[in-house]
Amino acid sequence: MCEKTGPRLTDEAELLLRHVNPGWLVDDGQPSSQAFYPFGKKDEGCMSVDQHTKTTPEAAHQLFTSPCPSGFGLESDGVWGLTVGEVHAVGLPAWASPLEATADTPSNAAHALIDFGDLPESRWKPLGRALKKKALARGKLYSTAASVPASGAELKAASNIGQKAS
Amino acid sequence: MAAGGWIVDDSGRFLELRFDGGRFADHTAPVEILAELPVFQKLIVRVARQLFLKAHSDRTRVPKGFIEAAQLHLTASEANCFTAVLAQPEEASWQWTEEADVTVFRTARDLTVEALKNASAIDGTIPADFPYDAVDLLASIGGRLRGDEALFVRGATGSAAVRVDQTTRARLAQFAKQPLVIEATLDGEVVNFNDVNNTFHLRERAGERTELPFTSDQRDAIVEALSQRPIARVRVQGQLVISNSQRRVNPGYELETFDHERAPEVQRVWSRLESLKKVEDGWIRGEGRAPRPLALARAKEVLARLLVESPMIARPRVFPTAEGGVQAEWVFPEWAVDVCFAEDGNIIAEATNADANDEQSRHFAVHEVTADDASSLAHWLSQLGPAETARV
Repeated sequence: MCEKTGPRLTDEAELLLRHVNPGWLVDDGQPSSQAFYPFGKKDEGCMSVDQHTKTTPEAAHQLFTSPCPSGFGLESDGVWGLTVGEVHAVGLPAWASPLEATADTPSNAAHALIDFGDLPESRWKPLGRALKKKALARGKLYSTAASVPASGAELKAASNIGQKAS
Repeated sequence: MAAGGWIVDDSGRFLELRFDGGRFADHTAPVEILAELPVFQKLIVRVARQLFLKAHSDRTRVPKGFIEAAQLHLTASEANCFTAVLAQPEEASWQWTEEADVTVFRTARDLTVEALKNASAIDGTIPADFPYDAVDLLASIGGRLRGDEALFVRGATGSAAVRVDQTTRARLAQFAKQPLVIEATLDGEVVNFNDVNNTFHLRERAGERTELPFTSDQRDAIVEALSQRPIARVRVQGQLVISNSQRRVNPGYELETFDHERAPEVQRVWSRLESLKKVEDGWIRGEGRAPRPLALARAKEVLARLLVESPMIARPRVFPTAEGGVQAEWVFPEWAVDVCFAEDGNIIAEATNADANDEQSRHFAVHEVTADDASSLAHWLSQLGPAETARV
């Protein structure tokens, strides 16, 4: 079970931003379902996202990939989105979990967590598949390849895609 | 009736051969089909000789001039499909005939046409007076016809034309106790080759295997086609010999290799799998095993077979798994699908339909989905979504 530092998210329309590592989990621009569930014990059953109400896809990407200590120094192929409603629809809770700055990394007030920890690990893969499908339907919200952030209107429309499912 | 030095009937023909269907539909004929004509000449000579010797039991040989009298000539061709009209030298030029022998060639012709007619009937038999030693020649009639073609043979004026097609030919081959030889075009893939006896096997989509000899000039193309199966296709045009369910092609065939229409998609998958060989242990945040060779090999052969034989299944995206496997992923209209090639060669297919709160999974053992047959996996995938929208 991971530690959360903020309240549970309840606004079903809120978009959560997911960074996908370009390593081996992206093929021809599409992420693997493995990028949409926690990796074993390392993640303590939680998947990191950023709240779109507190940042933008571009700013989130910038913070995620910028070198430490001004950023987290991580790689990202792009930013994908899931609504809180979509996360709830597959039976998962999401929590705000802002990060405080450390000696090596900056603070991130937009940080949030999708918690898989109440479910056995055998359930994580099916949920990852479901979340990936939702994210693909919405499309990539920010891409280093395109270097063009989605507009506010596009993001609002993107957020609405998940309404029916939620 | 004699006309212009040739035996013809009222319609001006001794024998009429009409080729129909397939290559003859546009009213022309490939030149190799003319090789059918001498077969009839040889056959009528052989039948006539036996009839003559039977009528002249005191003789062991035909008289001088007999062979020349049997020479058939093409007098006309008609463009309704393709019709060849054959005539024979008139009796006046025959120096050897007695009154009773004048009709020997027409009798031979009629007996030949009757034999063909009988063979085209389901329970037909060769006429009792048809010479046994001419049955093999009779069975070679139509050897240049393809599966969608037929030959109509008409003898005496007013008689019905007899159809010869591959069904007729199969019965004739049984009568002659010899293999069925047909002109065929085979499309398939090379499944093996043998440098000891210089042969290879071609597998067609229907699964039939045919043995072919190869020359040193053809060897490189065949080896390359084998290494690139199933996207490298081979087309062979030649004489297919079928005997006791064994199929082989005679030497001298035409061979052409070409890419399957989905070759570019398969090559992208193969390229991705090749790149996954660079993945090392600890690839995912210091953990996770590199894809194992068997998993990569199985993904390569099975995904290629799946794409080549299942037009409605889209190219998947391919990823390593933390357990040393390889995972192919699709997103269908309703389902998200992962097919994992495990390090032991087994396949675990799983699908999620979150909107319907439904899940599917299926385990395929190594022998259930192979390089030659991925139909069970294709069937499982096709059940997960409308075929017309599955290709994304």
